Amino acid sequence: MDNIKISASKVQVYYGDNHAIKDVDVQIKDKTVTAFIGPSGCGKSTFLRCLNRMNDTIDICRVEGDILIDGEDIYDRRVDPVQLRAKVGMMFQKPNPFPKSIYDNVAYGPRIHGLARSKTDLDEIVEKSLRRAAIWDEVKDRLTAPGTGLSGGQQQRLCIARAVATEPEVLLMDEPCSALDPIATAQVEELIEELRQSYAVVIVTHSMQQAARVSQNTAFFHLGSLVEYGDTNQIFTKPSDPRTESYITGRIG
Amino acid sequence: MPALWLTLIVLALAVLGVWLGRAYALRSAGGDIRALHSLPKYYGGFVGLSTLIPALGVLVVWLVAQPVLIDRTVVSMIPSEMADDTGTLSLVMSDVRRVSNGLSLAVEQGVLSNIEAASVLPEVRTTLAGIGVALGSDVAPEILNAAQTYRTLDALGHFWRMVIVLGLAVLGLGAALSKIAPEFRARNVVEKVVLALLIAAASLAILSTVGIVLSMLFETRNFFGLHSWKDFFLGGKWAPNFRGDSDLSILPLLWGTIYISIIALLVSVPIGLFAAIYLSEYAGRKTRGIAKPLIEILAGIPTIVYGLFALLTVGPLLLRTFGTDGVLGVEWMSGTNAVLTAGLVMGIMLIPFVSSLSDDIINAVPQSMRDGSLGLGATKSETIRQVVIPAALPGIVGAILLAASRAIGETMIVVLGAGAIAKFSLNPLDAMTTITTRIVSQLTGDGDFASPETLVAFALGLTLFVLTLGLNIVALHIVRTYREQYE
Repeated sequence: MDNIKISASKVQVYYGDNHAIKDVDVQIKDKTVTAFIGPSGCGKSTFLRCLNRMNDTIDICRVEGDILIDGEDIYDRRVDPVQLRAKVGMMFQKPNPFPKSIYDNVAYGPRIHGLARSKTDLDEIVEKSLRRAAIWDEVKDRLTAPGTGLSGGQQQRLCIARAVATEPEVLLMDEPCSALDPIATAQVEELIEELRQSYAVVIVTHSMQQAARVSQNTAFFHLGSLVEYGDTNQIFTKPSDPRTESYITGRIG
Repeated sequence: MPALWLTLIVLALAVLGVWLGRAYALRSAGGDIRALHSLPKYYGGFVGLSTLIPALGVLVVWLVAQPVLIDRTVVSMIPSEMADDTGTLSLVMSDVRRVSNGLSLAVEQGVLSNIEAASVLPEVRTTLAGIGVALGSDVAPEILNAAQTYRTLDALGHFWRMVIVLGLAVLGLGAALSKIAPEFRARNVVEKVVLALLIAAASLAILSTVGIVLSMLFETRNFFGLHSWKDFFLGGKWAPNFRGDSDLSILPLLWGTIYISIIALLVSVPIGLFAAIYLSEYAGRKTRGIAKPLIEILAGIPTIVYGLFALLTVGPLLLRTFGTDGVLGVEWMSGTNAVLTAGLVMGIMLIPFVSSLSDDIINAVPQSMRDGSLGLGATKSETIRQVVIPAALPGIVGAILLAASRAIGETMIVVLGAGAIAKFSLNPLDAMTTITTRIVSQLTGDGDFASPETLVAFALGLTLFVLTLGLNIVALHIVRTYREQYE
């Protein structure tokens, strides 16, 4: 296993007194889509947010254990969470474009991190990102229009473009399709397949069909523990744990 | 019977009605509450309200209408040469009322009989003086006659008032009781009355606004009848002169008002906004729990206390800095009263206003916005500057405009802090004055009420009202469009 991107071992997360994540060990491969599935409240989103230290913004949250990205402990004191988040991009459940123009939404990250040397450079980054998010043709004539004016599916693809623009190495997606209709969902899923060529993608989803469609590896979480992790095909056809089987056949969750 | 007693009796009847209504309802259902459409208390309420509302309604109308009607009848009896203008007429009418009350008092005390009081009384002034009612001059026979008519009509009115009000109360009580049956929907009726009450409260608030505006409009029209509107709106000098022929222009006052308000906003907007950002984005729950109420205490300080603060602390402090023999050795300031004094203190007053409104608005920016920005590797301050504040900007602008309209309308701080000299000056250390303080000084003098020097206060007030109303409308509009975006 030489292409491990993220390696987590013995991860514990506490919200105040609540032990939300218990002893999670997981190895996430580069250039692969990894899906986290499990019933609501099982801790899959919480674990996802550990991977780019978004939980730091919550006062009562405490993380223990080791999470290594490219062999580097991201909870080490020398790591600046802000830098980390530039490397590990994140997308959210509800499309959250900033109240700015489409162009400024995409240019936000590059501007903050100083990725563009000139205006033309920035234009290029914006166009490239919008193309990668498969939304360029729809918005190229109205880049100055507010991003909030787009449809839900377009907004979510704009958010993907925004995340891609900072050139992350890992892309975390927290139920990116739960607020979208089936057509927009199909577009985003297609996109995820393309993004896999360049990034490690981790996606939290409630839809088992989606996990089966887009991912190569699947992790099943239940009550804060990682129950089973492995090849998606294997998880969905011959799960080794009875709880996984119950969940994917619809008996729990 | 006096109106108070009448009201009390009607109230007592209503209480009786409530009790009877309950009892009737229970009896009509054979003691089983479930057979009734509504709970027994609603039947009681229905009967009570039916007793109360028509009777008290008529009483109120009667109290307003009776004096007007009687006055009209009596005025027609007074010969026109005794009342050639409105001023004299009102004096004569007050004489009539006085004599009439005196006669009633005399009858009450047994000095005169009812028949005597209605007959021609040559010695009426002495008789009334005997029971303690002093009259300024001898009573002319016309006045006496009018007073006697007044007294008769008044007594008649009182009698019928009592009969009708009590009659309505009893009638209402009876009618309501007769309606009570298990299938009668008393609850719906009571709720309709509650609805009517709410509507009445809302319309009263709106009507009083309309009333205030109308009264100002009329006086303003009177003012413009006496003084040219060109001088008021376009002149350059404010110099009221109680001998008449004053320069009454709003422009120097408007300048002072705007200048002081701008300084106040320059103080309050940055401080208030930064405080709001700290409280909503950085402060922990504990700090916030202590700091927010502390800042809001500032909003509870009466403005006159701020005025004292300006007069006794800030003014002298500025004078020691910028005045003659001051710390800086410059002679820019000659007295404690200055635009800067008032502006600074007013700014302090507005801090909680700006901070607490902005705080609410910043908190209303969805967390997902912040997450989105943080997730892209932005720092907290970048997120606030580039995402949170732009998202909250329309609301913050609205808050600032609301603060501005308070600054423009503020009076006590300027009365004590800014001085009384109306002039155009750019020097913030000069004394200047504002529209509000001039309204106070024009109305508290002992000038003739009908003179333009006094009436100008209404024109000033109306202009101020239009100004702040405009600002408020713009501010509320901005705040509302912003709210629609996220909720």
